[in-house]
Amino acid sequence: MKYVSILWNLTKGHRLAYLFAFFILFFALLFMQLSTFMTKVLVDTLLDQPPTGPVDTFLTAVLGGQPFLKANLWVFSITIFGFGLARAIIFYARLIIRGTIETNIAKTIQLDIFYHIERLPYHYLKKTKSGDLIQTATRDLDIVKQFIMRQFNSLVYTIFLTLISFALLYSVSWKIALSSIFILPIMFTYAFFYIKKVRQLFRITEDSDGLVSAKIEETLSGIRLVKAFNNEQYEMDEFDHHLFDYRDKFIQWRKASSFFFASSDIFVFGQIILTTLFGIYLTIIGEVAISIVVVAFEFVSMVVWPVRDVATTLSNFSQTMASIDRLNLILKQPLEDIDSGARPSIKGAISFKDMSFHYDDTDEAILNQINLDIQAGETIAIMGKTGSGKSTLSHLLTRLYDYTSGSITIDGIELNTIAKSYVRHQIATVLQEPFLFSKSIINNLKIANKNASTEDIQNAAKIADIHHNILSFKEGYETRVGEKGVTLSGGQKQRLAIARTIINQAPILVFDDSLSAVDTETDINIRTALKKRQASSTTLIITHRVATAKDADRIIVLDQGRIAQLGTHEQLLKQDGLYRRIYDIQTRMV
Amino acid sequence: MASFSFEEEALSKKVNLGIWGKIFPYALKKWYLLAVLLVLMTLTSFHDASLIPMLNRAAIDSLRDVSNTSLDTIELNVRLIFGIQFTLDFWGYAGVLLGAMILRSIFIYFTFFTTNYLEMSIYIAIRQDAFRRVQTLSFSYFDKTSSGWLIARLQSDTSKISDIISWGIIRLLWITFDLTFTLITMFAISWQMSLLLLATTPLMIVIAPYFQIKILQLSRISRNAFSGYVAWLAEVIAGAKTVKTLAIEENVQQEASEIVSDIQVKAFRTAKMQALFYPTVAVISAFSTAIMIYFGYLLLQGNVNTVIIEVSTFVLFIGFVRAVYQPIQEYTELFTDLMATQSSVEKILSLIETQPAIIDRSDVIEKYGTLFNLKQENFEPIQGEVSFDHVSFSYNPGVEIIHDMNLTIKQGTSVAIVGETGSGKSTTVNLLCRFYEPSKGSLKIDGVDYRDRSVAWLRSNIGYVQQTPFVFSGSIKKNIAYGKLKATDDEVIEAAKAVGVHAFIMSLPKGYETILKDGGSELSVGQKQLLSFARAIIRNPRIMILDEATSSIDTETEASIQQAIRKILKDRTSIIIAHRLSTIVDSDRILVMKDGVIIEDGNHASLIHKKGHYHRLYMNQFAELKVEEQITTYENQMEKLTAKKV
Repeated sequence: MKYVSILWNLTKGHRLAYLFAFFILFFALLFMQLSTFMTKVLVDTLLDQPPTGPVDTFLTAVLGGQPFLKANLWVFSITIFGFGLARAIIFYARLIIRGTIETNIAKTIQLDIFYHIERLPYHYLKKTKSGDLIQTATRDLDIVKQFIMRQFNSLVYTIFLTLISFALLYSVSWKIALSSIFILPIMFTYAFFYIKKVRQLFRITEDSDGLVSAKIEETLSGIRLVKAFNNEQYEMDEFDHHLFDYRDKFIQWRKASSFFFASSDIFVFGQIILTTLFGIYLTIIGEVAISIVVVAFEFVSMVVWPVRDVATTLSNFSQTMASIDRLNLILKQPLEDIDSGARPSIKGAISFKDMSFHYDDTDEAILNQINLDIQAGETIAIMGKTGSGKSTLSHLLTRLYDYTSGSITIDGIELNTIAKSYVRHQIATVLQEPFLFSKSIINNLKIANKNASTEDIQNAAKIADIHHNILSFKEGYETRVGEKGVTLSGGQKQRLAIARTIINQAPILVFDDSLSAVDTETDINIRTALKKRQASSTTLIITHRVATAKDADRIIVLDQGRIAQLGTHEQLLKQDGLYRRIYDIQTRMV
Repeated sequence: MASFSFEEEALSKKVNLGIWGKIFPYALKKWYLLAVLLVLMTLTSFHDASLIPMLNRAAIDSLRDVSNTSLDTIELNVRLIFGIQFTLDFWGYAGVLLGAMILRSIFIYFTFFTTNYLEMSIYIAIRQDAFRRVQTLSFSYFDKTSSGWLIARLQSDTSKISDIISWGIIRLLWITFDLTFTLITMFAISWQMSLLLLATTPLMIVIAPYFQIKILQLSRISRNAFSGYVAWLAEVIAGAKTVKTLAIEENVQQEASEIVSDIQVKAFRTAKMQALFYPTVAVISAFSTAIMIYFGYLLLQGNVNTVIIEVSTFVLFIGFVRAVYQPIQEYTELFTDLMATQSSVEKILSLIETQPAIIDRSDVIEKYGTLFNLKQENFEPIQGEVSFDHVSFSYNPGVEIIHDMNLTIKQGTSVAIVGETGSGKSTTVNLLCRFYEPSKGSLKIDGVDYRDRSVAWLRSNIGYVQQTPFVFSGSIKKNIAYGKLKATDDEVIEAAKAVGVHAFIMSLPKGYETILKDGGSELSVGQKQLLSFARAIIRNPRIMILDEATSSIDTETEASIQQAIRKILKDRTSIIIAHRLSTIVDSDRILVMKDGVIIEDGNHASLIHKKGHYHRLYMNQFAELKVEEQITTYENQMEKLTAKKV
């Protein structure tokens, strides 16, 4: 039931159209079977047999009665063609409607799930394998879509077809009608359960295939070693070993599936033969006319195959259920609310009061009792070893995580009452690992502000000291970055990321070790240019360079989540501590 | 993370008989399977296309008028093709039907089974050929070809091809026999009606291929659009932190909406074409049936000529319309399927037919054997002196990477090469490993040009550690023994001890039998690199190459790595390329390369003192280090400098 309600929710907004498609399907099938049924009227006419049921009596009467028909067989030509044409038109309409609904539903679901993924909280995204998310958003979604659009559809198709055929046969002889569906339930059950066994073997084969694939991938990524160690023959042997295992399992699986098809064919043909022989028997004893046997033969031949197919697809519903489960897992995940909260105008004073933070799954404090007042327009450098809590500080400011105790206020307003999207616009952060999208440079820069003018963009690029690099590429700002475009050096990527962030002039800037791959001189240039443009912006720079830190108004040294040192360059040099240590090393090295 | 980059699936425009001619022999090798299939298909088709219609006909004929018959007296005259005739009573008729049904099921079983067997044989043969080729190809090939491309060839392409060849053959036989038997049966019943039916087929022959090619093209377009979406999605998820910190969710959602709409527009275009196709076929076949009835009616009345046709003939021919139209559709389907696979065939053949750029001369092979069949008894012992004699090298003609390099490394000395990206340091190592060969000049080992000996000889004397430690799935023991396949347990343990990883291995519950999966994700990078060292040292090579082997090590394992390096380089000729300064300061000799030329040559102290290129390089790298790395590096250096002074 759970699955039904989830599926029901997914079709929201398209349900009427969905029902309408079935309505049309019914008529398409009705016309199809009526045109086949005309064969009976035709044979009866040729053999001078009177119609025996209401439907054929009606059809014969409408077409002018048997004597007239016998003299004018062309009427059949017209009728059969007419039915065919009507059926074709309805069929076309049906496919178009189905296509429309299918694409609409697909689009809705796809965007829905994307919306969810995009707004999952950062901690959830971080602990989830991105491959799994992608699988769910593509493969699982496709399986569910296939079920809604195709499998359920073919189930209804089969039910309609069977019902219409049964009803038409019933109208002439209930005995024949019954015989025409006699074996179907047995066949359905047989197919439903046997195919499960086949599928089990298929899974085993698939697993073995996975091992072959893994072997291929492993050999290719380790090809240098294979060659350097002369192990080509060894790899061939290993590969063969996997390959032959796969072959054996494949043959097992296909043996079972061949048996399935061959054996279920017995049911399929058994049903056809049963109806035919029973019909012949009834004809011989004079109960029905041969024309019924002809039609019954046609009808049964049309019905048996879809029934078998539906049985096999329905038996695979467990796969669909698994996909629905995985989709649901994402859909029911609480989303990050980025929009609600205050949107005060911000000058840039930041104040930490007894602020601590630990992750959900542990009590170990990453940041411990931080107390600090930063004035608007101040530049603060933050130094510390890996794991001292530097990056966490920037995560907290942008509300990727919320602090667990104490308070952070921006211009006196509690940070966690301010809307996240607003905070992130006001506190512009350049991340440690610059991430660029595989699109043109201009689009990468524009992503932060769609309406930025060319001048804004070039200004930002100039400040980030990347403008000239960009111009040196053949296509300038239109150059694509990434796999299909130019490969940028680490420093270039960092500078582009900086340019992207500073397009919007935010009152607070955070550089999360985002100048590490830029040489010292450029580092200074960028900071000077930025200071010139945004003198009033509060700036936090996480860095490992004394040359960078010493220009800051104040320097913080973090150690194991606490502020170990705080002061100006001169003050810290006088203290015994990490800062002076690093200073000594860095000056002596040069 | 798996790579979600995708390649556009190209669709061939023209039939390329040449490549099918090359791939078909994979099936011909199993000619006996083909022969079995031929027989089975003939029998099955005879049943479906001829026997059943003829039995039906016999029933209709005998039952037209049942006023004078009963179950015991009824006689059914069966007239098969080729003039075979017999008469059955009701039970005989039933017996024939049931017997034929069971026989057919048996045929079907064996047909499917044989085809599967054929499919697997082709699959295995192609994969083996491709995989063997990959093993022999030279590095220049892997530089130009992404591993994603190769994986696609070895995986999906081989499956696609073996599937289309084996099942394609079956479909071809099946359709052809069905059609042939239908035609024979048709003409055996009434040649006039047969001609009448055939007269309407040309329309179908034109329309079906047109639609199917169109549908194939459109569905390819929409599939490619979808793959593009998957790649895009992967990127957005990878960049989630950036999206969040820039607060650009709206923009990204907008982009998603555009991409998804585009996919759906393309999908709908395909659906529209399909929606048009099936009704068109239905109309044509309805038209054809109508014509059959009308002219049949004329024949029946004797207006066209004197032949009177029977009711059963009438019914049969209505069924024949489908029996003739269906194969035409199926032929075009098969054809489009072949077209869809053609580019896969082209690609995999191009792989199988690629010749490796580096091959031993025939006289060298004569003496030392091939890669797959080493003549180890003829391998000379090695001393370990390496010399570059006027070596130049270019990957692409006209762009020289190494210029006239002259360098002799005495046996047992350690040499480090530093330089910026593109300076030629990796190329130098690649040349030494004979991953590439010099374009000019020669590279000598113990004074003999290495091309006078086999690739295998050279590599059996080299220990090689690459930048990213690579772990094969399997036990730790197997991973170390990869350097010497026949190594005993003692040798493995000794190698592990030598690099100082033995204690760690023993601390694992299963020790050396610990199974490493997923590229050894349960180990740290440093631990993995130590395993790589053990793997290199177990073969006791005279020449050791560390190709950026310490670049990805975390600071925690730094110390143990340094120790391990010192040990494994002892008494060996070694070449180290390193980004990490601490790795090289110990080397006997440091070479600084720039633009393919050695510009500085000396040891750490002398080069630092010189305040030249090396000094600058060293300082720049230092500036990129994390705080704690700066401290360790500095301490290390101080330690060494004072040690040297003492």
